[in-house]
Amino acid sequence: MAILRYGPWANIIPHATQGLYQNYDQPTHLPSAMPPTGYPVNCATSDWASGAAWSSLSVVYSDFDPVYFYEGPYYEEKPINTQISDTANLFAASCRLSFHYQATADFTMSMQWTCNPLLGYGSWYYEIISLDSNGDKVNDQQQTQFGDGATTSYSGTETLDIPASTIGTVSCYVDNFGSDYAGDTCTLKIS
Amino acid sequence: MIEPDAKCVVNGSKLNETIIALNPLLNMDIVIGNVTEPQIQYSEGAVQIVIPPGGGGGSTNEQLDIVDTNNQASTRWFLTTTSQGSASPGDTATAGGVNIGSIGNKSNPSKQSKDRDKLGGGGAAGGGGAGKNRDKLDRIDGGGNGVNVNEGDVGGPKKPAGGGAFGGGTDAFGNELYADGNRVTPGGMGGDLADDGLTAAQAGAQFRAGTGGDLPPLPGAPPQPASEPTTRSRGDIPPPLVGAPPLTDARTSAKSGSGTPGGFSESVRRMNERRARRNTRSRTADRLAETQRVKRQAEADKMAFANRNS
Repeated sequence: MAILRYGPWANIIPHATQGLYQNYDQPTHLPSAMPPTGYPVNCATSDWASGAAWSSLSVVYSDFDPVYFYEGPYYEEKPINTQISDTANLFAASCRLSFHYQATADFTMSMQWTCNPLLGYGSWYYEIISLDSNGDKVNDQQQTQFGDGATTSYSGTETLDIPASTIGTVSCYVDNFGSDYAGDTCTLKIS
Repeated sequence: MIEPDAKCVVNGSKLNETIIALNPLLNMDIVIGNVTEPQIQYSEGAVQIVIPPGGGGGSTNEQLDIVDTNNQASTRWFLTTTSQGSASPGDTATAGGVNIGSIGNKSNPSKQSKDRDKLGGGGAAGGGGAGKNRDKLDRIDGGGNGVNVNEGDVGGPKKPAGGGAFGGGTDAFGNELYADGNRVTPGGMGGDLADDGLTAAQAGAQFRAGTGGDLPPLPGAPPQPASEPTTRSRGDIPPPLVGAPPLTDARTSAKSGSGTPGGFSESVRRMNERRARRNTRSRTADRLAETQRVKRQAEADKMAFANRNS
């Protein structure tokens, strides 16, 4: 059965047993250091029939904040299959991609990541929240930490098995782990 | 009735032609298109009613994004208008001659049935009835066994309780009522009669002649004069009916008595006159009630007969 579109932006209500989402219009202040309200809602891996392109909300911490002297987050809307990257100017590098999805059938996406920690430690993580037939939230989390203190180049591709859901959430990130050195880099792409 | 094995009148190719012609109508769409006037467009197997955007009703197409089968991004069009359609039949007091009140009572049929409707004024409704005629509400009992007022009659005018001699019980002032709710003694409270200026003999003759005041003539009464004289003389009294007792002029006989005007004899005479008028009115009331009952019964039979034949 067809699913009516949410969104175009939405946000899951935290701490709710059932997956409750609020809809929002698309934020107007992106790209910005200010977090937008919610995340874009996509039709699985496709653009919407009305023409709205698939997108995710990216967050990187590469910008230098002159006031607080730390790398503040920077929010942007990114299309599918776009690699984002971050290089630490003062502290750790971190890349995040998050989006909502709607799907009538299970589908897969891939998360491609790279990490170059100067001290050789990092991690990747993803979480998929879907709704079951009762509307209850189902969480699928995977997290891996890597590094031996010496190797400075890591990469990988994780397959995201995303279940059908009237609406769900996918979040993934990659970052350096505990290095906090300027010059650390990482990249992330969802396709 | 069409017999199962009967041959269809419209058969073969004609029937198929009809089906082929009707199918596009069943596949009809109403859409908003780039037209200036509403159009009906035919295509093979489909009919489209194309409405111009905006239009009189401000019709617009709302595009709805959906996720279709197999995660296919798709679109649905939602036709909206600023004009409200005609109200549903349930929103109107009457629609197509259907009495909504009757429809509403289907949930509680005991409140309003055919027979109960026939009660009309409901004067026959009695509080003390034994209930034996609950199913024969077109029947009006003359005695104390009046038909009970049902719950369904709640909301109508209050009916006096009790059957009474005239089938209508008594009103709040104790006056006896006819079955149709009219007072038996309209001349005053407690049954006293208003003096109409007629002697007992005149009233009796008037009754027998069927010309008693504003009372309708009884069946079999002689033809009415075009206008009733306001004053009467002996000559105005029509001849008595066949079999009627001979008339006497009570006023003349009273005057010829030995009593003086205003004396005891006069009082007795006036009392007798009032009693005679009262008796006359009572008989008139009885016959009137009987006439009305017969008429109602005839109307009920007529309606029942018509219903059976409809």
